[in-house]
Amino acid sequence: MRDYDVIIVGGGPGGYTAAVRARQLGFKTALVEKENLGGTCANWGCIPTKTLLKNAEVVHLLHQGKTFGFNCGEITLNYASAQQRSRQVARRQEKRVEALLKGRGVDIIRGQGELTNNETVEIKSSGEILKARSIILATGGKPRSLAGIKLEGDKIISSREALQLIELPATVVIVGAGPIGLEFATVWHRYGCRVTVLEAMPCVLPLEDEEISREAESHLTKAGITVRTNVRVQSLKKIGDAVEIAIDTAGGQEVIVADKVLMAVGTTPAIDGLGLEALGMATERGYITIGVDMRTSVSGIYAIGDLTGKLPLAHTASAQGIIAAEIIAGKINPPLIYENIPRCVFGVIEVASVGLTERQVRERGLTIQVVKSPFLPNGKAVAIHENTGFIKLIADASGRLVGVHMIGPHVTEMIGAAATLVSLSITAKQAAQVIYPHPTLSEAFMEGIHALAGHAIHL
Amino acid sequence: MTNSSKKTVDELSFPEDICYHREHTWVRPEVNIVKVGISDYAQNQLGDIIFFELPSVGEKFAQDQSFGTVESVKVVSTLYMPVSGTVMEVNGELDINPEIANQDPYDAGWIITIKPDDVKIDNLLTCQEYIRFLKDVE
Repeated sequence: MRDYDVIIVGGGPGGYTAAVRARQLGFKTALVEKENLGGTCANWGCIPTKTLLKNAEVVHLLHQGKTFGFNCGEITLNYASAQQRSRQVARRQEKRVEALLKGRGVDIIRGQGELTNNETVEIKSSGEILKARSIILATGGKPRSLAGIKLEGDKIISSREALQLIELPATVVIVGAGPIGLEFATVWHRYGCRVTVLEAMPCVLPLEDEEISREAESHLTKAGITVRTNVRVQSLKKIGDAVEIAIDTAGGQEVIVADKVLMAVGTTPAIDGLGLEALGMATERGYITIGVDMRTSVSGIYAIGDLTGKLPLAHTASAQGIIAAEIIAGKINPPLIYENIPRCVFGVIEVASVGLTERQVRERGLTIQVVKSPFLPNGKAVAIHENTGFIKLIADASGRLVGVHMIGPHVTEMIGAAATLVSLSITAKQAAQVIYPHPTLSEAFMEGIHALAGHAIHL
Repeated sequence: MTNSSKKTVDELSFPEDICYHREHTWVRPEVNIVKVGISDYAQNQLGDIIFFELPSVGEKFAQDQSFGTVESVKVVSTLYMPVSGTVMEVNGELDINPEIANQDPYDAGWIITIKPDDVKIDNLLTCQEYIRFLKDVE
């Protein structure tokens, strides 16, 4: 039996961040991980997908010799090699997490942990018992499917199997036009697969601002990806080597056929085997209920990350992990404002947003000012041949930024600046004093700020 | 994984039966080929190694030319050819467990084997010369 101050179950971005913070606060800390350190993010999500997207971006550029002054003749694509690089990058990042934890003196315990009471974690495979006054649950989420559709892992797959594909099918249907669906759509389309994306809601990226969603859809379609919205998948049937997808559309029922179907409809919390039911832990729609202090309904147990269902992103989990560790140390933190956590989408065109959408702001009855700053005239955007998309800024009556929505080149790298202003409640007039460098794409953001402050130069 | 604290030159190991390059690779002649790796000093400086970017079999390099990189949690370092020649084998184990180069840099952690252009190794350092070189740098 080993005694700790804090035990963290799950070594993804939430868990390992919490572990490092716990060590900084002087706690004797153990982290239990049953698979790979780095969690979904490093191994089956963020990192390998960004690797594949970079490969796909290079492939895309190779088709643009006329624009960029080269001729490389017939290009041979090698998806297996791209996939191999994504696994290699995942491994490197996994090892980085391991080295980080070891370097900070966190005990890494391999195996599946089960909570036998609110102070004890038992490792199933070894029978080892760990005890601590505080336990942080960070086991994340796993891909889910639609009711009645089983993820059998071969023809009907989740993102996990999708990242293991070495060879691409000729045709694929992706169910779900959220960020994950659109990433795979982009990569596979660029590697020669015929992709159809089906979305039940009226627009792609249903959680983004509507104008952003419409612009994103037009880019996907222009790129050659078939997008169908307002479509509900009724059933999937394997017929020989293919899959028949029965869908309900505005025009009636239809059947479409593809070699594989990727279900990208969301995740479900990974609470199996943790022993939470026996502890009587409160959950809501499967997610663990937490307070602003990450405490669950069971004394001494905290939960963070995808388990909590609050904006399931890696950086949300990390932020929650830091809070949990600090709460255990007796610190008092201002509550996390989930709306002010930036969201990013990668693909044929990038999307990034922070704060409220225009619809959400209007629903709250706030008086607002909305401006749009396009990339069309932006010098850097024109120079790199990507002068497409825009930045939409929303300010409240006092001039404070309450929402920023971007679609265009490299916007995922620009949203941090917007998140800073939104989180710190900076007004447009204050922000307008900041000078941005020229020539950069970020000047489009500065133009938007100037427009809100009443004196846009270029708009 | 290794203990990432830095050791002094006296605490590191340098086999006497191999030759050393100033950029911290070593060469061991074997039958028809030479085996190449990084020294104990190099792996200790790097810290926990997480990745090697290595050439393909058949690629040719001149002495002192870069033939790849080694990435640790702290830094990416260039790997320099200790002798000119053609790459004959690449240690596939390093792809799966790059930390072998930390744990056993002179044996299981070998990186490539080379068919040398000529067997001239007089511009490499002996064990004693390498240790003296390192102490001057320290």
